[in-house]
Amino acid sequence: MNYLLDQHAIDAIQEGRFSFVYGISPWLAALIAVVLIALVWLLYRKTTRSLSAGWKGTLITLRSMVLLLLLFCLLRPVVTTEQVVPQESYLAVLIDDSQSMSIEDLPGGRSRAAAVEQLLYEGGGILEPLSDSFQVRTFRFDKDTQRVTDSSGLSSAGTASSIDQALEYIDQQLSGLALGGILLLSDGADNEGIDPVPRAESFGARQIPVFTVGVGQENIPRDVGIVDVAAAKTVLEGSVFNVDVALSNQGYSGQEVGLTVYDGDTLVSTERVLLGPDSSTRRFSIELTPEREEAILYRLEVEEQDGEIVLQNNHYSFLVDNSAKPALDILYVDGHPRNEYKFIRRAVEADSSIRLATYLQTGPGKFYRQGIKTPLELSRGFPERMDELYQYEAIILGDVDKDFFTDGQLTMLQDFVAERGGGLLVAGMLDDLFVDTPLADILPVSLVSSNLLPQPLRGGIARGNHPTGQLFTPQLTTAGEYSELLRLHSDDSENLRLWREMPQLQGVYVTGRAKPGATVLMEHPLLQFQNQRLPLIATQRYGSGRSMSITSASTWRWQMMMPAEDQSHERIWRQLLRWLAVSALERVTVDFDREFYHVGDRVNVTATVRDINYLPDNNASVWMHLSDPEGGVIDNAMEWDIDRDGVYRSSFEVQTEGVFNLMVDVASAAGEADRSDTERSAAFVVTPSLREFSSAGRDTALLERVAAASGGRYFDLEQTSALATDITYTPNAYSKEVQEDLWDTPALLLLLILLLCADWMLRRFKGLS
Amino acid sequence: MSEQVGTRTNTKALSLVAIVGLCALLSVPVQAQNSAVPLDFDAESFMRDLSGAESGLNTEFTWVRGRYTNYGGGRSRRGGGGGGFGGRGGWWDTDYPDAESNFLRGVQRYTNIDANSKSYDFLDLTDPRLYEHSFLYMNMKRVPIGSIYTGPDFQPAEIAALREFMFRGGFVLLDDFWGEAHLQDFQTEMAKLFPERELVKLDVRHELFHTFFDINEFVQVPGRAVTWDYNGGFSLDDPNYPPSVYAILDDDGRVMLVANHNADLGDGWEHTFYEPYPTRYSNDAYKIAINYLIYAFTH
Repeated sequence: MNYLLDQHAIDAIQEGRFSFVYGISPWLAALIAVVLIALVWLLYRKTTRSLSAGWKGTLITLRSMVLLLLLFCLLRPVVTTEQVVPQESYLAVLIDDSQSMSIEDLPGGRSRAAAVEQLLYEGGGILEPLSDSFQVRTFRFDKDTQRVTDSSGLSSAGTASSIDQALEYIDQQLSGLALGGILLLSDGADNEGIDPVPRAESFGARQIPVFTVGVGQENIPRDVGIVDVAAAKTVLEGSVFNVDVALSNQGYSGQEVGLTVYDGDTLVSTERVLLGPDSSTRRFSIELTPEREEAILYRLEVEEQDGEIVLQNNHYSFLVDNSAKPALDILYVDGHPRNEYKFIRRAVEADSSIRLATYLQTGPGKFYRQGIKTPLELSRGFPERMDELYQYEAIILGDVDKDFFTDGQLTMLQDFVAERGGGLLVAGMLDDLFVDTPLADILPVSLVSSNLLPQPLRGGIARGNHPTGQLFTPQLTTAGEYSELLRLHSDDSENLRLWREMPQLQGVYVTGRAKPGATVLMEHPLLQFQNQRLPLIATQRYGSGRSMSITSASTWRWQMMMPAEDQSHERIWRQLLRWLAVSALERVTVDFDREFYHVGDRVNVTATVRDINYLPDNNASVWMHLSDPEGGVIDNAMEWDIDRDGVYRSSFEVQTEGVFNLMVDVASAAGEADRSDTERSAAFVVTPSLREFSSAGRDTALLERVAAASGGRYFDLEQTSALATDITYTPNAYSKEVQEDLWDTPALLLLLILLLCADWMLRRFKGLS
Repeated sequence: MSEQVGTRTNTKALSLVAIVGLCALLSVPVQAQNSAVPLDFDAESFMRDLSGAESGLNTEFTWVRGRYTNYGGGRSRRGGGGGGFGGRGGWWDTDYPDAESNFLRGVQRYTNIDANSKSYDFLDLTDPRLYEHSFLYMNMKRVPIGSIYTGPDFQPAEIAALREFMFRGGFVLLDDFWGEAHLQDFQTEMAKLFPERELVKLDVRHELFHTFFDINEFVQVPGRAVTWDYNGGFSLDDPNYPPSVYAILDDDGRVMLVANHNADLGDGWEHTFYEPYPTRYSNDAYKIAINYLIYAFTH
């Protein structure tokens, strides 16, 4: 019971919604008041004992006030308010049940969820008075919304929060009922990216106010958190994976923290990193070399700091797919035995990710094959049929004469790069006869007839007393310094230092300028053609594929002129060849719509299928076998996307955390059942989400905007005393105009009693009867 | 898996020596005349050779002979100064440079390796320029037959350089040592060179003998003062000297050093034009060495 006037009554009075039921003319009322005061004054003219004027005046005032107060009450004063009719309308209570509600950032180390529970349920929480006025329906929400009956339905486990989705759900579920208002309790850390304000406005238009209660601290004062983790495979030597980690920081500016990666219980990487300024996010790169050929689930941990409030974002699991992939098939054709051939072969021999099939012309009419899979491979020379050539992902041409190829083979080579998406490397001298062939079109450097070259550049010999045959120190271009193809060390300055120590090369084959779309990675320090240094290593995209030219045949010197244990030559060649081959189109590719998933997410899988000529295949029958972390297996046919050639889709929801393995198997209309390239494995991981713990501070502004847009009000959790009344008296679509009597307000009775007591006591004090 | 394909050159190889011989006869006016000019005579390279326009050092490949320390006398051939190639002396230069010149002409004629009859050189084993090459030939000659400690006596610096050369990817061919005593001597030097590696006796089926020519038996290529002499005596295919090939393999099973025991490839090349020297043995000397070269360039 409120003994004084309610705020809503005061508001109503201030807004002029105050009147008397027995309304009489104000003049008459004033007259009666004057008469009453006059009567009292008359009656006090004579008293049984004499009184001073002051005392008399006081007693007259007191008695007049009593009479005037009685007159006021007799006229029956009322305020007109909007009130809900008890139990006739509904109130939806939306409770944020996402993980961010488990953050213990409230006084006394209480979690946000505990504070909300206390507000709602404990010791006659606000749900009790609200239930007097409304039919209360309680819901929990994260990225979905469900009805709950009490606090036992709350778990703070939701991996995302969407206020808009929650409001939409209420709209759908209660729109047929008399919805009188919505109470939303949340930290406002919405991360689904949909602004809830328009929906709040639509509620406002229907006179359904949304009252918001903000929970948690606006700024989490001390926190180091993992915001994002992305693992990308590179062409770097040694199956090195670069993992990019984004760390946010508040309150630990400039501090060094440990960043550790575990594979199960085994520590695989640890380093100390320097945090950025407060409120910043800094990215760090970690190199991982997976030791097993499978999808590996790593756990990343950032060292816990003193006084840190949110610990949930200090660890994260991510997947690196290192499952065995078939080796990249590369065909290397060379016109004569030479050191370059020998050492390229040796460089990749121990690299199981590359199979180098070589076809070397050892003598006139004599060829030597190495790295072949079957006795028939290359037995008839350079492939003449498309399917024979297309089994390779990249082709290397050494010093090969034009008459080594037929015109058809050269055209096929062009298709190999442009359509099949293969890589072509020319690592040798091309004579003038190639100038007008498709090969000249594919290469990143233009081919120029030797008679158009200035005299000092004519020659193109491997060694000798000629400008083009001398020793030189190759120069990395800026692109080359940062290129992953020529990386000798992940650290930029160390990489440059190592390059400065590399032995000189000898001899350059002179071509024309680099083409406009080409990237020159390395060039000759002195020799120039048309004011451009002679390119030594250049690359470019060509159709779906890539091409590269290397115009010195002396990279073997990086092996023979360096200590035996040095791996620079091997590393460079492996990187070059992987880059060349790795982007070649595959018969079957599998893509996911996201890099990581969380429980309850929908996974959309896309398979792109190509036929034997690497053209999109719309007539394939595509099956997907999915194994979940608990060993369950699901087989599904994938459906062809009628809008996109060769694309097949499937989607499903994931309900458990862990690694899911997926195999897509294609049986094409052409029927090639036993081909290994018609199936593709892939894996994805379902992990806990980080989203709820990044930017997890209370978003007061958002909650205020939602309340304002709908005609409701925003409350801080600490100031919710007026919440229940406010909800009851804020006009809504179902509230009625109610005249509320003020005469029976306890405060008035109290005032009357006080006045009478004072009057009586003063009279006794002065000995009056 | 590796395999050689293409025209069978075995039969063709029989004419090899004759052609090489002709070229040599015309360019180096010694030895007997041969008036028959084969139909596949390579006139272009022959003329280039004659004109001297081609410097051996401009070719991509240079045949390098290693100069080493000998037992008892540094690098000198007979215990003191004087004699031998360029006044330097030493058994290391046995057959030098005629053997090289002749053999390289064969390499130029029969393979696509960029070489000519002048692309040879010799280097001390400790010369850093050794690493600018990937193929090294050494003559292991010991005199006389049956003696020990008369051939190479590799010094620590030479051993270190040789090992490094091979570990980086270089290929070493050793030649011209005979009988049990020389074999022992050779084994001693190999044990000094690679105490941790086994000396392997190769089977004729090894890839090394099938990279270019198919060699199906090891031949005792006659060596001067062993199985033949200028004075006329030949004891061809002497059963006292069964030919065999030894090798040392690297960690990946590739041959990095090969040694022909009881055969003198150097003499086979050098005496290509010496009429009494049986052609077929020269022929075999060319064939096996070309196989070694192709193997070295492909492994």
